[in-house]
Amino acid sequence: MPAELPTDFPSTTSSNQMHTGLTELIATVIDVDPSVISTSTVRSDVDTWDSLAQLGVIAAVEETYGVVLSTADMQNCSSVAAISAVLASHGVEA
Amino acid sequence: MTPLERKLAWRKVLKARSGDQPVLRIAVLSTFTAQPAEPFIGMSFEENRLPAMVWTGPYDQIAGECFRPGSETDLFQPDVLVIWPRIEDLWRGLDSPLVDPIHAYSSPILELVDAVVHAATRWAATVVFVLPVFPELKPLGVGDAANPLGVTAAAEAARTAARQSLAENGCQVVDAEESVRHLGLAGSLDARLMTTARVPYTERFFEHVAGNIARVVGLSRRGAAKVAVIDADNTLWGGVVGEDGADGVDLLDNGPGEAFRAFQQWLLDLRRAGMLITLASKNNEADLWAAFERREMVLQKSDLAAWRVNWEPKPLNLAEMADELNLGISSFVFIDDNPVELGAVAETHPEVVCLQMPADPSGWQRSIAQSGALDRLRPTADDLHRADGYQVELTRRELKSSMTPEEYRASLCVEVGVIDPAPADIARLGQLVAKTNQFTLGGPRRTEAELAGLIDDPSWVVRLISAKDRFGEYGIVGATLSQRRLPGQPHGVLDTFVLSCRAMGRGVEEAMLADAVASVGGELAVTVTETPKNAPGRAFFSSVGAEVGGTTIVSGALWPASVKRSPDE
Repeated sequence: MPAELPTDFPSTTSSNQMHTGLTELIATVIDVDPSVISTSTVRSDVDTWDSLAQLGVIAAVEETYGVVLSTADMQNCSSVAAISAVLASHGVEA
Repeated sequence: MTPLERKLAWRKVLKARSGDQPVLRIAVLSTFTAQPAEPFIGMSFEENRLPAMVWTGPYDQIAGECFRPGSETDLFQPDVLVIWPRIEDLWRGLDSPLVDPIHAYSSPILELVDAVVHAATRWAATVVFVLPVFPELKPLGVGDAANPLGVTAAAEAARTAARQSLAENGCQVVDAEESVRHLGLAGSLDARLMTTARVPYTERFFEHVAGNIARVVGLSRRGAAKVAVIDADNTLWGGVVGEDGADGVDLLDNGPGEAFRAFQQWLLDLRRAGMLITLASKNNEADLWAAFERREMVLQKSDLAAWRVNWEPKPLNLAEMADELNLGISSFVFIDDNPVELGAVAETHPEVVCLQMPADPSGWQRSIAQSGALDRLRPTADDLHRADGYQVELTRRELKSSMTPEEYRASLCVEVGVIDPAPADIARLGQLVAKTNQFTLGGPRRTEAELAGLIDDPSWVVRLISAKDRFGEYGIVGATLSQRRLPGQPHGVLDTFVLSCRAMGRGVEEAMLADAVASVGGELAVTVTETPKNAPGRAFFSSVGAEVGGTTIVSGALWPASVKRSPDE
């Protein structure tokens, strides 16, 4: 249904494409151009990535990657790299 | 749609909107972080054809927002005010219910309801109060169930007290506990989000409650469906009566037949709540009514407000029944097992909600009852009598078609009661005078305040008219106001004469006029004025010699022979 999401997202396998998947997912949720978000983006870099948007990012990550984050995980998700690391700790490479 | 897809869809709706499109202004006030509910509420209203904007008020400040002039919510001026507390938040500062009197735990929610009602009246907003979820945490655990002063008992009492107060104040209610039942506790509450962001609920839960909020507001704005049109074969019973015979269709216990009978019972419950039940079946009439004679049938022919049993296309039959019942077809819901019939009706009448009886009839509850298409709000007194009223009207009409007008009137055994109104009757009197358009003299309407003065004025005669016939009560249907003969004047003056259309043409109007004439001593001056709608009134007064455009003295109007006079009250 959402035209904004690539249809093969996020089931691609190469690490690079997965990074694209995660950054695009975050960009979609916080409603910014995908070019704004890179693997090195931290929350404070982006105005629209406020605490409310963060709730949306966490929900989207859980829904998209089929993981259940702990409260500590949620606290740690303050950058793209950190979210990647949290996902890795759940056995998901993204 | 996943929650993420819904949120993105809502964003799209907002971006596609032009600035000047009128939308409902929805304010959400809660005791927790409710912003995550916004897109779900917005989308649900959008899907219910109620374009809306959603705004969430400041965190945990419901009463303050309601009371304080110039509060953010006051400035927002909501059309719909969603109030969504948590019981745990309302009980802040109180010990957890254990041994203390239980009513203390109802006070906070009742105070909240008062604050909300007060503010909503000021804003002319529709209140939707979300009855809060039972607290998950109970010090006694499983033992709480046996404690009449425990957490669940106290929450139950608070919810019940709130429900009562909300109903008395005309507020709409959505029960969040229903969503917990639907999704389960684990699917509804999110302790992680609660600890990190004061968001107690999952997105699925917000989505479900939002759907119910939109449904309730839709019902309150547009009204419920009025007519259910039901197919017979494989909808009211199993099998086809034309092939299986009346004795062969399945209405038996312990199988599909029992599901069909449960469906019939539900139709009767809907009928009691104000829905008209009608039938559209392709069958020979004799076959169909033979099946209705079956002892196992729960729905009876006498429960139906209308029917079409023939081989005509169903869209045509629905249109005819809409004419017969004098109701718009947009208030119809059509239930059939056959996708071809459903498709035909949907194509001709896109405004009709079409529901399919599932192939396994035991699924009717999930697919039909839960569709929401037949949801209704709390019934009014009118709702509770509607179906019977139509039923009686049907019997009268059948009778009318089989005899002359004179025979028909005589056969009705109409009885008219003349009532001198008491102060308690002013509201009904005022309503009759204000709302009657067809059977009137066409002159100025007296206000309720004027009427209250006239019933105490000895120079006036004010009457309320009740009527019934052998089929049932019509209730209070008419009123007359006459000024007595003043000293030196030869006649009294008829000031107001109103009769509800449902009682016209049965001798009630003649009885009313006879009473009015007699009450002023035998001569009454009548002035009839033409309005766009009062043709029935003009026709009647013309028949007694009072034409539009002058004043006529009516004398000797006789109480009609076909009408009995009830003993005076």
